[in-house]
Amino acid sequence: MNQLSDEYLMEKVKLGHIDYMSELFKRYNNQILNYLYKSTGKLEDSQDLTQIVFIRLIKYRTSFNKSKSFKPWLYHIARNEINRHYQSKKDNILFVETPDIISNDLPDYEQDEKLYKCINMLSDEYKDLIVLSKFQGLKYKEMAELFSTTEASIKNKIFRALEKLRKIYFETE
Amino acid sequence: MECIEIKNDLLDYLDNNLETERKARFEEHVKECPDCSKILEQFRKLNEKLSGAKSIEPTEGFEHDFYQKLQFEKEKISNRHSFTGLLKETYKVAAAVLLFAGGTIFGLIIQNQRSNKTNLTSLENEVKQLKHYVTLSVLNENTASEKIKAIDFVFEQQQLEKETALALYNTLISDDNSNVRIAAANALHYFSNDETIRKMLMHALIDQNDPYIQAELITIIAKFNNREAYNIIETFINQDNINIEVKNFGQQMIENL
Repeated sequence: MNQLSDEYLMEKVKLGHIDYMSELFKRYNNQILNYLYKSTGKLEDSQDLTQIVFIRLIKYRTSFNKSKSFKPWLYHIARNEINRHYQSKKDNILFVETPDIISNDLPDYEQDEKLYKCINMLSDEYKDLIVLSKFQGLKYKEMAELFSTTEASIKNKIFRALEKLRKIYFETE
Repeated sequence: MECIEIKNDLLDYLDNNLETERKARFEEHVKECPDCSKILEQFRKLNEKLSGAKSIEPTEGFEHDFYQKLQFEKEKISNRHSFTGLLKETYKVAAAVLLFAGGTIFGLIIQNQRSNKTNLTSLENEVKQLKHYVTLSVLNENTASEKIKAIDFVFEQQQLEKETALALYNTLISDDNSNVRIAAANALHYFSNDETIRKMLMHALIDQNDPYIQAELITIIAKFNNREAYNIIETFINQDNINIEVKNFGQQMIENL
């Protein structure tokens, strides 16, 4: 099972073998949970949303296109879920970081807090790009698929987002 | 290399994606340009901080909770299939009955009710034949719930045709879904007054790897209540690779025989 590609597993789910979703959940639940946590800041909400995202994969399984990668599609559904969540809550914060994540590591806390505050000063688009590329580790190719654009254009946008963050972080006190 | 080019290549440089020659030119410029050198250093630090961000772990029971939801989704999907499957099969049979009934009535009128009885018997036979083919075709493909529905048709037949019995036997030993295998076992059991069917069931026990089905088959075979059934169960449970619970269960069953 470990060696099967995400796309193969999702294609199986698409054909009605729903059990294969457990393997995809195993592979990605933590990543999606952390992604959603960056937006909601609440563990409980993020856990609920993570489960909803994977149930949505089953619901929308017929729209999965096996010639495309699974990961961008997964994040596409996760991003839609964040939007839906905020439409119902109307308090879009898009990126939060609460101390409980870093409480084990006190010496770094202030530095990290500064970083998170700076990220929060960015536009929603830049925050999203930084979260996806740096925290979630998505490749340029995957992000290009997610945003329906080219790798060159995504790379350029990420650079601009990081450049903006760098200026805020190092040039403002 | 100009400062503007440095900015273009910065991400590739940090990702170690620059060709050797371009990388050398990049490093050469940075060495001589304090501004670019500072920017590169800050990008490096930022990258380090971003990649060092801590991640959270879910609370206990999170995965278990999801698997329960997954099971629920599976059941929802299979119910939907079985409902549409049932509708489809019902329509097939209903359409056939209507066609044959219409044909028969037409025939009856033409023949002036001379061979009334013969036609009705032939109509019944045609419907039986149709159900038999529906069972066979559904067992070959379709979803688990559709197969179970098709197996249900078997109970309406007075006698199990050889072809259907073989299809059920194959389903019993090779279907992916244990519920379908159980349904096939029960359908065969229903006709187990036939010697051949009893042999099939005993043979299926030997070919069966799933402990759950093994136990079901032991229960069925024990009901034959004869020496052969006793011998088969005894030989089966004395094999080395049999699940201990199945062994104990089989032992109990033969003690009662």
